[in-house]
Amino acid sequence: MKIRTLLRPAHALPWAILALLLAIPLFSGPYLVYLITLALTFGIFALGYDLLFGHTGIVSFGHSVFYGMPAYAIGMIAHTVFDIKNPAVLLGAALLTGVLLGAIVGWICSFTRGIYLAIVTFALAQIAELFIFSDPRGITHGENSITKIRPDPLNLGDLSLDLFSGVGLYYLTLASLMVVLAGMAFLMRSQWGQVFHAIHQNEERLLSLGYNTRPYKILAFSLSGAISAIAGSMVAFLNNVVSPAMVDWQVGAEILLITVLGGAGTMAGPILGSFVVVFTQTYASSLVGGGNWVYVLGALYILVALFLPGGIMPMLPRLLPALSRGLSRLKGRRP
Amino acid sequence: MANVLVTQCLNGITIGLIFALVALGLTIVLGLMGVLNFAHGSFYMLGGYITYSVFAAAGNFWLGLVAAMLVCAVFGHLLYLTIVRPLTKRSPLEALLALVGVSMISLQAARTIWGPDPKLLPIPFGRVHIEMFGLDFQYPVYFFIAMGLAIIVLAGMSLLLRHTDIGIRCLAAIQDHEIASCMGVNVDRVSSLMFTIGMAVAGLAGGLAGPVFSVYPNMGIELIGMMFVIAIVGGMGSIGGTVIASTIIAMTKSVSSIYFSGNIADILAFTVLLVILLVRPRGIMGIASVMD
Repeated sequence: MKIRTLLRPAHALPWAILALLLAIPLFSGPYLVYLITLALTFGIFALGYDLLFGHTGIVSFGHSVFYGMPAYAIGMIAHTVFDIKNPAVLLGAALLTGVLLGAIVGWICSFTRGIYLAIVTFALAQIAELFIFSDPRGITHGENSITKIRPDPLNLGDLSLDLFSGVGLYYLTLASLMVVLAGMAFLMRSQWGQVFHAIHQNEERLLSLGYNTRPYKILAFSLSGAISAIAGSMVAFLNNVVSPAMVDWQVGAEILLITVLGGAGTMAGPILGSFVVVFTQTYASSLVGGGNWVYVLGALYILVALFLPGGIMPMLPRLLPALSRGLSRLKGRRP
Repeated sequence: MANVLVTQCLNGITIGLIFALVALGLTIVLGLMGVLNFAHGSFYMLGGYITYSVFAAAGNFWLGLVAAMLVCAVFGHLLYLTIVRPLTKRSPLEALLALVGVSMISLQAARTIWGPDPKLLPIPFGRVHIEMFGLDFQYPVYFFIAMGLAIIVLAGMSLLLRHTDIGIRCLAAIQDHEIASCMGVNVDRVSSLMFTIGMAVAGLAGGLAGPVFSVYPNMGIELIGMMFVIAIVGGMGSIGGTVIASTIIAMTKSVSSIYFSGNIADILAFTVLLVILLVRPRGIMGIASVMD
């Protein structure tokens, strides 16, 4: 992709959104910053999920493993097993955990396919969560969660940057999301990305063309695991807690729903989906009170599935002209 | 020790048969329509609550079970008409999205209507003293009755599938629904009937499970994941496979819980299922079907 294509008028909207996101901490309170950070981490997670789901066509029900276990790796290194608070070590360990778990799960899953593969990932996620609960030798703290995870500030010479709380973490998460987006865009244009898309479209044909698809599927799992690991570690820093709920399969199911809601296989869809879900949860709960936000989110899922096939994102280009047509008709003019 | 072992085995069989009732509808719907019915757990929960409410009002547990089946059948048919039928033809994953929405709404509705605390259903009948083969222990009669009821329903469904016209049409549609519909099977009618029956049986299972586990809002959500595993490991559309898979998981859990803590017992149960799935990729008694 040439730089010039990035500067075309059609790309004005993404740049405007990025500028807005960069400016938000300057004029808004800590709560909104927290919420957007949360939505951004889910955006990263959903992008990682979509690498496997929307692009390679593999449905996983156990992605909570790649999100929760790296966070636990951080918790163990920073708190229960070692006492290392160096952020580079922590992030490196999380990424490594994501990649390795991705490779292992991918290898096991490469023996099955379709719905059977989804169930295998689900069973693996259950085993991982039960392992966390069983608290071997006190390294996971079981139900009690690992709390007070606080990495040291990053020291660059004399400069000390606190990138792991508040506004610092916000920018770190935003930067990570941008890196992941750019990486995904690059990956999907590369040969690997082409093979991923081909596996999605017709794996049999790819096999008969002489491609061994297994290494590519394991690769997709590893990359997806690495991206999900970034999201998991950001959430660990954001809440300063790693809890068994992060490994629970319902997190994996939620990220599947976010991706389907936003639009699988698109770059912006998963991010849009996570913003919609995070903000619906927050603002619907303040609107209708108590746990009743569940009604709003549940109704949203049903309505999107019924009336927006393919998710929100692919329907936006069709939705916006329809809206503007409707508006101009209201004003009595034809567009 | 032998007494504990036999008691745990009997518990395992009872719970396994109740699980099989829940997974039954799931596996048939999955085979017929390719949809993972996430709302299935909600019907299990609804069945439990209807049984509890009827029991609290009329004092009759068995009347509660019948009411649970009827209410779940009606709601199930409505769900099929409004959400499942329009969506399955388009995309199974979007159907899953909508069904998760349904299960979220029904969970919150149950919390609002019946409150978040577990409702205890007393175990009908007392305990029977068993003294034979050198064993000596007490066991609730209700568990034997629950086993019997579950076996009757499962055998009835099995007969329905193998020996009636609509059942054979259903099996044909599970094997290949395009070819079946070319041969004159009204897949839509078969799906509608099987979906409704599956929901009614899930409601019955919820009612039967009431005295065993008590009734609480999360009972369906907690179970649904394991039910997916059982439905797939058993083999889609196979009642025998479903019974074997659910008995294996329930027995592994209850017998190993004598020796290990609950978490390790669960890890063992899931590992067993995982190994079965890797050795027999289409499930224990699965047939090659459209889902491949």
